[in-house]
Amino acid sequence: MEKEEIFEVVKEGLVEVLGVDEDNVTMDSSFYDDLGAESLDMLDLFFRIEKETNIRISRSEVQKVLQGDLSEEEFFDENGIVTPAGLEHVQKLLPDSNLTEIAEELDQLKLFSLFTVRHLVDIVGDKASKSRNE
Amino acid sequence: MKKLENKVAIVTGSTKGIGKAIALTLSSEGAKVIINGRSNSTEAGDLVNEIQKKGNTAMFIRADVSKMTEVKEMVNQVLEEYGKIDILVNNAGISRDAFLVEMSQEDWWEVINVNLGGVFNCTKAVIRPMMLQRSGKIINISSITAEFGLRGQCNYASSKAAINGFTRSVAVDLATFGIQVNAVAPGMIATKMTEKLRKIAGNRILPLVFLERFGEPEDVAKVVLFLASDDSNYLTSEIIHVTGGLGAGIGARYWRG
Repeated sequence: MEKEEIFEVVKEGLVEVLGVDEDNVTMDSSFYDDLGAESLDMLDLFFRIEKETNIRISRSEVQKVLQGDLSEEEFFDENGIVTPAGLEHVQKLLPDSNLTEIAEELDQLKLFSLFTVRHLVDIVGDKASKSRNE
Repeated sequence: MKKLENKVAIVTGSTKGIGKAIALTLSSEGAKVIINGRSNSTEAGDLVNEIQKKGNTAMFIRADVSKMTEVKEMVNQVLEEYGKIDILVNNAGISRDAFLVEMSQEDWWEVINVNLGGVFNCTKAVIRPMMLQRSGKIINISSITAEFGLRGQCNYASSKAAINGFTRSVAVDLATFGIQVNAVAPGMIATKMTEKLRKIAGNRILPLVFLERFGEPEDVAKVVLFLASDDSNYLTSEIIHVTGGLGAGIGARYWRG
């Protein structure tokens, strides 16, 4: 499944779930800040994607992509802010964002707001190519 | 056209009592019904035959609802056979009445595990296919004892009150996905489960029932049919009392002049 096809599925899902205009959904739209999605909307979106593509995604997988191999304790400090090790990992995922500026207030919610349509399309694309190779 | 044509329904604990009446009622409206019980029995086979003889579809699947692995196997078998699940009636329930001071921990947990654990297990097991197809009806069989105290039933009443909470909460989670979740709370229904109680206390309970009779399993089944059909598409998170008025006031007969 090509990235463009996956993007179309995600876009269509977002239009249905959030009632947003399809012109407002781009690869760089962030779910939280730009589109106003909340947790149930994401769950709803994931089921629509699974229905269209047969690819099952969970919210914990999304968290895992952001968190990498770091454990919850390694990733967040006691105040719920992303640790320096966590920051390094996230910065690799988001080369275009300057995270050092917001490092001190980068909690789970803020982190999620950095998650864009492109990231989700990549996750679905990776799973699609993996299942093809199996 | 029948109300449940082409629908697939699982009714847990349906080899006898209220569950059996529900299975018969849903199948008579065209639903393909999965009869379930925790052991193989002649009652189960007889019920499947009775439904098939009328030209309707039914199969028996043995599963203990308090065991998630068995529930998952049942659901997988239904999906293999019929490809979908439209209706789940969480009916399986047991009672182990005792005064609290004399109630064993085993009696407490067995009732909680079957009555409440069974509702969780079965609902959890059917929910993914329902969410993907974006439709479904989940009907939990509660009890009027969830609302009013009844002697020796702290385990049973707790399990049923928890089912009401589960119903209301899950209804919120699933509304987005086009799935309605409701409960039916029967009063005193003439089944084997209530036989002893009716014998001991029937003459004292009956005056509290406005309609002046104990309910029949079919009285409950007809309300379940309503909740399983498109007639109730704007209804969710509701606990419907099917009690003939038991518990709704201080009784019919006491106020006669």
